[in-house]
Amino acid sequence: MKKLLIILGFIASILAVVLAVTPLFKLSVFPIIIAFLCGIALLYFSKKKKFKTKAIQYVFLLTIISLSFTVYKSVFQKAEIGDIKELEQLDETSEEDAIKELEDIEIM
Amino acid sequence: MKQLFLTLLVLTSLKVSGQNKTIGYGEKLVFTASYNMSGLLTDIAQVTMETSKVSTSKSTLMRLKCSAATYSSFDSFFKVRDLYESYVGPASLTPYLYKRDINEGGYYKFMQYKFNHRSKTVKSQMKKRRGDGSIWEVNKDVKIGNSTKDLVSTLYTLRNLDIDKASPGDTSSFKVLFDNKENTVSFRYIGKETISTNIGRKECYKIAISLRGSDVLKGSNSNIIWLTADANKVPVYAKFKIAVGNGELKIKSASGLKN
Repeated sequence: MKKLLIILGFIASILAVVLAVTPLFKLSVFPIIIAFLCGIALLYFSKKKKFKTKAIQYVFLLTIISLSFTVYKSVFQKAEIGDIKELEQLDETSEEDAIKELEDIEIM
Repeated sequence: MKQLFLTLLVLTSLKVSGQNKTIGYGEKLVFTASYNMSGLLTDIAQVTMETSKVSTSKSTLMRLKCSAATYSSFDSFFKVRDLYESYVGPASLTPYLYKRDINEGGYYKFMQYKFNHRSKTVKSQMKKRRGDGSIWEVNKDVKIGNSTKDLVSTLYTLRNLDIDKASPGDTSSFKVLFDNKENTVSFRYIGKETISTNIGRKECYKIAISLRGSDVLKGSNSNIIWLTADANKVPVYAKFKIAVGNGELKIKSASGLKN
């Protein structure tokens, strides 16, 4: 049980960190919850059966890091469109080409 | 005489109902496209729908433009720069030229349809980028039906339907040419609903969209669009289900509306 919780906690917390740094950072909420629950369960067992708490500290540390990233990005990251110069240029040339094409098309 | 008068009246009313009363030049609608995963919405792109006037030596047409661009945070992840255009008759919204230029995460495709409504054919041109960077071109003549449209003009035609006269359950179908294949798009009026949007609280027509002959849109009741229940019938919200999940389209701003 202890090993299973440690493995699950580590996987979830690492996944949370990975997701937190990608644009899909909102999805890191799920692994954060799982890692947090595993950490609490491990803490409970460690007090009951008295074993080393080093692994629990790592799980919590990674969870806090990913949670900080997620909260920071949610608050400060604004949704702005990237560089659309090429698209604007394409828009202009496409319209010019279309006008030439339309000259040959029969408009009813 | 009376019969002639009645026939003329009916013909005139049909013609008027087929006229464009909703879309004017200079209209600009901006949307935010979000990806929904287990209830968590992530804004991924901005979609813009614009109309403008285009004049050739022989006629004046309306340009319907839809463009999509991913937000800067997604550009390094999966960059999308799409441009869809349709050149239509301003009164009837009949398409004459359709262009689709898509650039999605390194995948490039160009599609052009030149409509000939007299011979009911479409001259199609497709360009795709190969893995080595070279362009591969395919030209084809495609037979179309009487009222076949392209994707963009169909979206605008939906706004031109007399939804106020429809009752829940009523369906309207259109033939749409997409990837050189004629598909049938059906719009089913579900009813009215008042929703909160970025342009205010609006009473809307709720319409379900289904696509026959293609598997782009999944589910029969999962793709719904909300159009404002006024003379402009602005699409303010849309929910769609595609192969890779669920998405949403929310209006950000609307300007240059006709009514």
